[in-house]
Amino acid sequence: MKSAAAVQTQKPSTSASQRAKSYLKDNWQLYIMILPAVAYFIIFHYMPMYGIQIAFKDYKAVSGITGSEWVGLKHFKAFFNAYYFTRLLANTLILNIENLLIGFPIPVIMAIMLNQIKNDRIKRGIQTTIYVPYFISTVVLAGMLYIFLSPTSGIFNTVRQWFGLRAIDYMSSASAFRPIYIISSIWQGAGYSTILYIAALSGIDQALYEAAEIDGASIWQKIRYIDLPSILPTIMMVLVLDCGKLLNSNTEKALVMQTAGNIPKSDIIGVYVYNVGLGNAQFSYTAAIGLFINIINFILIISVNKISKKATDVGLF
Amino acid sequence: MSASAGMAVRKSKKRISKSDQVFHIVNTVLWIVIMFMILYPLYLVIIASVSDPDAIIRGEVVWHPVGISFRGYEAVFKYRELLRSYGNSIMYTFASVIISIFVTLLAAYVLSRPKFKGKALFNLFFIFTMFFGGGLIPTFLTMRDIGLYNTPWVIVLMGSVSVWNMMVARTFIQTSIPHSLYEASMIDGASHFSYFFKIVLPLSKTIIAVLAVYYGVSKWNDYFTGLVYLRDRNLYPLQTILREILATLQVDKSGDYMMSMMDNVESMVEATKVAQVAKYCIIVVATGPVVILYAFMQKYFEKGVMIGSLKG
Amino acid sequence: MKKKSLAVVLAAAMAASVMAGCQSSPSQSSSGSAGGSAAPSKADSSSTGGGSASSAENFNETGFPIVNEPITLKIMQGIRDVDSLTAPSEMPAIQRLEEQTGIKMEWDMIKGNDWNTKLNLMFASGDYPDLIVSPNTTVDQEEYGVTQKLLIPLNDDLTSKYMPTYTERRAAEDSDPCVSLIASDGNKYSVGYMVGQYINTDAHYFINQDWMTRLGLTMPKNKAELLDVFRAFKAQDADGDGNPNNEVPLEIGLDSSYYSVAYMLPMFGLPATGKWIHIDDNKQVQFTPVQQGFRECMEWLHTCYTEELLDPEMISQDANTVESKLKEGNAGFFPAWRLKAMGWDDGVAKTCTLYTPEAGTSFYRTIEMARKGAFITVSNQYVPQTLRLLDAMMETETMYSLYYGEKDATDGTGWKYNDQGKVQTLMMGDIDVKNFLDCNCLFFGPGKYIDSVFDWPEQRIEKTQYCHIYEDAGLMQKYSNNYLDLAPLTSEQRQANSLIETDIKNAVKEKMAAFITEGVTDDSWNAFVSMFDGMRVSEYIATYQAALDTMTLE
Repeated sequence: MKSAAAVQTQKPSTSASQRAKSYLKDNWQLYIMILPAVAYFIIFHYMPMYGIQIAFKDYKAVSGITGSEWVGLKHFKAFFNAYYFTRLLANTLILNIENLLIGFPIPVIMAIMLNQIKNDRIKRGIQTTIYVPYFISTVVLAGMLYIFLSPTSGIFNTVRQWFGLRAIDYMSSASAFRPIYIISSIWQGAGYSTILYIAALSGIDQALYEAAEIDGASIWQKIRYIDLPSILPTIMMVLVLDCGKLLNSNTEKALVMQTAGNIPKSDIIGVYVYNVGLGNAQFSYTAAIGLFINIINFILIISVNKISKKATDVGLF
Repeated sequence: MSASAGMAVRKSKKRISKSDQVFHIVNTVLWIVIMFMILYPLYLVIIASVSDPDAIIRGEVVWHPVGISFRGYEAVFKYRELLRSYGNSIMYTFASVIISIFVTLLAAYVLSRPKFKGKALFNLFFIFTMFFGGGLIPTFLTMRDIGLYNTPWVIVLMGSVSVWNMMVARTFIQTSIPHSLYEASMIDGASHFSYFFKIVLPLSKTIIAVLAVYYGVSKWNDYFTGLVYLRDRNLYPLQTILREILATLQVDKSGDYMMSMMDNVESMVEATKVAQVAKYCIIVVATGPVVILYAFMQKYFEKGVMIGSLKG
Repeated sequence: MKKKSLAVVLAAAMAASVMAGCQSSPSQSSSGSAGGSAAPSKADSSSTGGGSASSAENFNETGFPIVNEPITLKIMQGIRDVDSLTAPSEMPAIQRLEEQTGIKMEWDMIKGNDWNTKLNLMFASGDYPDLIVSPNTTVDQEEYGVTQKLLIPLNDDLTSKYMPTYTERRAAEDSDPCVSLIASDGNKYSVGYMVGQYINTDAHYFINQDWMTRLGLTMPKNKAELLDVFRAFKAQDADGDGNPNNEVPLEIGLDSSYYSVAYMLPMFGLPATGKWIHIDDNKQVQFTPVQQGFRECMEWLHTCYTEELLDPEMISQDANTVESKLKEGNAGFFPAWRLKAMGWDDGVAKTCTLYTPEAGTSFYRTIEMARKGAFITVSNQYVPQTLRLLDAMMETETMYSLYYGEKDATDGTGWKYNDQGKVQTLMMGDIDVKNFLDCNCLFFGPGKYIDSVFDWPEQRIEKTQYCHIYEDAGLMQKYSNNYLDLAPLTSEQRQANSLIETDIKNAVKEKMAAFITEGVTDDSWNAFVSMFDGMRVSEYIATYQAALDTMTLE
């Protein structure tokens, strides 16, 4: 009895440090393996991180970042008080959310459908082709949009005129801006995004399909019970990551697509920052706007991550 | 299988076939439509690259080139620095992708280990950088201070590790490489190093291919890093040079290009016109290698890469 | 517990990097005066040379070479996006200059597109060039000169001593063209750049004479008649191709450089250009978009829109697109800089002629003044030498060789002396890569000087004629809007203004589109006008008015 008690009290005190020791003995290599990535981020991201201060200062090149005068939330307040602040925020957010809602499922669907093509050569051919639009530069893409949608010579309007309708200058229409933006974004990016899902699908164990065949499953059923669940972790991962970009702006694209007529919808935060930056060196002001965007994005991704974890058990961290 | 079971299978196979047939028809139609929507604009880019600029603006270039002219390609290839920058980009991309894949996969592996202590901390460490950063000026100053400014290394290394890719790779390792393999190896006395190099890496061909494409394309398309961090024009990558060739095409909101109303306005106007065509030529010139790279990578996306691993 | 320690670790990491960041301020070594406090020794304009004693000795005040021991100057040169140039060290004119002066030049050529980024990075890094040459790009002299003192004042005491050519040409003009270089603290921080052209405005109006002749129309005398002419153009097949209704009577864009809607406003009494404030005949600063004339213009254009007299792509087309259409010739009326040498010889240059609008029109008046051409930074140790170098660049033959190419060149570039001994350009069409700096060099040629030295090509003469016609007809505004650009505002005011201007620009552009396509009602007009109260426009105007009242206007 005495010895048993002694054993009892001894065990907890040694096993904590023992556990630690044995953990390190088995796993010290992990810390070495993660070192290159850590070093990368320290050098390229954390060392310059002090620059976040610029948003709270009146940056002057001659004084350097640390020497510039501290002004606290002055720039943030200026941004919130900007005449178009609400519109900028709304335009950016709505554009990105709509883009996500419509654009996110498409690569998934494409990958799944592509996966069902039997002919390997056709499949490869399609795969390579749908990936190419990604490389059309924004400038050219917008140029093509102007050409296709031109009221005088564009295809769309020519067809409209066949039906006796008057030509519309789509690129000047505020209500047409978001659809054009989103559809062209999908055209450009969907094929590129399918790569990931195709890769995920290729990793599915063939035995599952064989078993399904034997059970007499139709293709729809195979998709529903095999494909989707297998790639669900990947889907959720990408979805959560994309939710962390909801306040970002594809400034180059918006600028190139912006015309006087669609300003009410095409005026997004990135365009505003660009226009402000064209004038005097408003570093601190634009830095404050950038920081504001990042904070909101960060909050968004943390929230979505929590939801994702609750719903599907898969999360970012 | 007994005869009745066999009949049952045959019967159900017949039923399956019909709805499957419908599926295949729908799929085929879908892909024909998609291919047209994608191929036509790409075709347009190619014919525009050999057409007359004014015809393009007036929308006359629809099914075939109009006013065949190679002015665009001439303008692009006349740039002496183009060839060299092409070579630079190939080297930068190659070196960078190798480093990227290596570092990313190592980190993704570590993050995928369920019992890894400090995982939450490391995750936050990485994810934080996706949202918060110092900005252009401090990064510029840092690169200058550590001596990377104006060296090829700044191009190869900057952007070589992406948290997005890291997380996706981690998910891949978690879902595609069964934990039973890991446990089996540990019982056999393997270390993390040996497990990673001997088992994980060979089984990760697919994700390595994905990373190669994503990192490769990102590096190939990047013009900004070269613009900001390089001084020596000999080191410039392709996209930075191409962007200069195209510089006239930034949509000019202020009309500044007209402000210097010199005698040779006509030549300036002409140069702008050539640039209108050149932008199409540039796409053709710049996109070739990446399409080839991807076509090459295709075989890694085949089904059944995993076969054999489970039986071990 | 875990989360807390996480937060602590993160905070520690942040603190550590902030402290590490303190080291990373602009480098002290390469430019001793980057720390701000040392700047005054360079900014003191009356000292010659400064820095090492040897730089004062290594200098010849007159004659060539300028230095006895060769020195090297680092130059940051901004060029236009369109320019494709060889390396300056390979340009014959530069090589001759180097030999002549003994000063070697190291060039950093930066395109307009990237200029802002590179300039700001340069100042942030503390690694300044000796000389910045930027006639076609901008350097914020209020911020970098006045406030941060990184640029050296280049006042007359220095320029009269070391730049005789420059000074002489300035003095020859009726009024000093370099007053435009003066910053809010009374100093000039730059050497001027000027290509005199004897013009007094930007855009003029042109009407298609061919079409009018074909339809037997007379030159319209007012806006109502102009509208009728447009209608006739459209309805009666003015271009005679058998297809009525494919003509474009009014070819403008909403925001397309000189072909913009803004250039129609002068016909309604508003001297506008796109900066939405102007100076009226009583020296008062007015906010253009809320004036009655603006409303009338919008209504007039709306009529054109509904009757399809406007180019259908009007709202979205940019300047390049408009020019392409003018090249084709399908235009009845348009504003533009001029007709010749614009690439329209087979288009509107053949068919169109100047249109003189009715009295009551008020065109924006430009005063020809110098632009800020070159700046010297505080890290320059050879200020007198640099100034003499700039002066040498302005010597006539050198200057034209830098601008057009070699004398008597045979490759479609260059210049020569014509029979009257005047400089005549040999520039033909487009050359792919230029071995001269083109209009990016430091050209200083005010009106009188250019008149005496340069053989005006016909397109310049054409433009000057137009200017005379409009002036004689009394169509020019009394006091030039340029005074607003010269108004002495502090850096703070400018920064505040630039934010307001961004909002104004967008608002006006967007509402113009709405007015033109949908028309103007009392309600929509009132809403438009009251919108600007929210943008602090009255503050904006008041700032300019106060600054303007301190100036003498002619």
